[in-house]
Amino acid sequence: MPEEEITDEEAITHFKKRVLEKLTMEEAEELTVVTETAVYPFKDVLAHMEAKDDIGKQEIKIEKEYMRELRLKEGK
Amino acid sequence: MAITRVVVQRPEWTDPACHFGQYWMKVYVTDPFRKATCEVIDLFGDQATRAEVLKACKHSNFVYFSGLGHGNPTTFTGQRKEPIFWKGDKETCSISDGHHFNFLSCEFGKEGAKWMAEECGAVGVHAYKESFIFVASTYPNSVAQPFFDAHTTVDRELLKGKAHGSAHAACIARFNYWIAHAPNPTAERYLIHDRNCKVFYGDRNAKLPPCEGICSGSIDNYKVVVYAKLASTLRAYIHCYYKRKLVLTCVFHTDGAALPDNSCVRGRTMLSYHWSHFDDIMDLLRNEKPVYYMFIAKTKVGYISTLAEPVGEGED
Repeated sequence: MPEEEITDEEAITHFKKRVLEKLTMEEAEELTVVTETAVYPFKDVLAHMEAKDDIGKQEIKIEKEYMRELRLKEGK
Repeated sequence: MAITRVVVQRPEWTDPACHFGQYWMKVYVTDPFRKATCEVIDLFGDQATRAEVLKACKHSNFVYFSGLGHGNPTTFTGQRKEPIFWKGDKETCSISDGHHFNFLSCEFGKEGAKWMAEECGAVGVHAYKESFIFVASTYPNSVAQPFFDAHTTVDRELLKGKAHGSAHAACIARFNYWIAHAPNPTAERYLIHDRNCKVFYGDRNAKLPPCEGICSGSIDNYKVVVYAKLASTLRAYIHCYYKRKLVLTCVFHTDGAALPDNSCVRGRTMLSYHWSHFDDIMDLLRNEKPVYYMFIAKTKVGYISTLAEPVGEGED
């Protein structure tokens, strides 16, 4: 599925549903994301996505990759 | 032939990516290669500098570099982000030639790794073309482990004697395993991203020489030199190349002459034959593709071979 077919907003909604709702608050609090340029708490990912800052843009891109993978698996 | 040298780079300071990575690189790379009796130069912490890496990689028995660091599209770094290898650097290019690499860093797969393989003669280079991202909680923990286990599959497959193409495929398969068995959906999404960024450049059929000393690889070109009457027993050379690099020379001597031992020095294999085998070798080089060679230091046995072929191909 081409990347442009998923909007940023769809990716953010998907992230809320598929990822955040499946994690307990304790689990989310514990996790840290480690990248080349930043280290940030996983619980802040949604805020970054909504702010569409550099981290947020990267996270939206990752979410879209994740959505494409899931759709591929589900044969959609 | 001396033992195969493997150089492992594991920077460690207050940087979280290196702090986690260095632990798993020891578990999954340094220790297994040591166990397999390779000579492992483990450049840890303040030893993970450009000077130490160059020194270790310039040794004649150096074969494989597996490194952790930060990076960008053109540069791979070490301790405290000191540049180690970069696109356009003469030393990087010289070390690349005839050697194997696995980079755990962000983005170096975009340009640097490609340049090392395509312009500088690196046999095989594994890297990531975008940011390598992982999630972790307390050090070194099970949440981070799948990321490093998947990445270092390349190292362990190469150590088992698998070719670069198979090692790359096994790495992707290991990412897929962890995507299916991720400790939580958070890890799953980053594992998908990292898998999608994994790239390989170079010869998919090439392998690391095992630690006990084996030289092997593919041939894609050759040149023949037949001598007129000489005082010695030497009759001809066939020089064989892979990507313009001289990897094998078949040396032909007068029938009945004592043949020198087969050998492999600095990545160039020398196989000795009697003159009566010249036509057989020429026939194989002219008519078969792909063609491989192998030299085993322990037994000094060497040969040129084809892949398995269906019977009856030469009928008619």
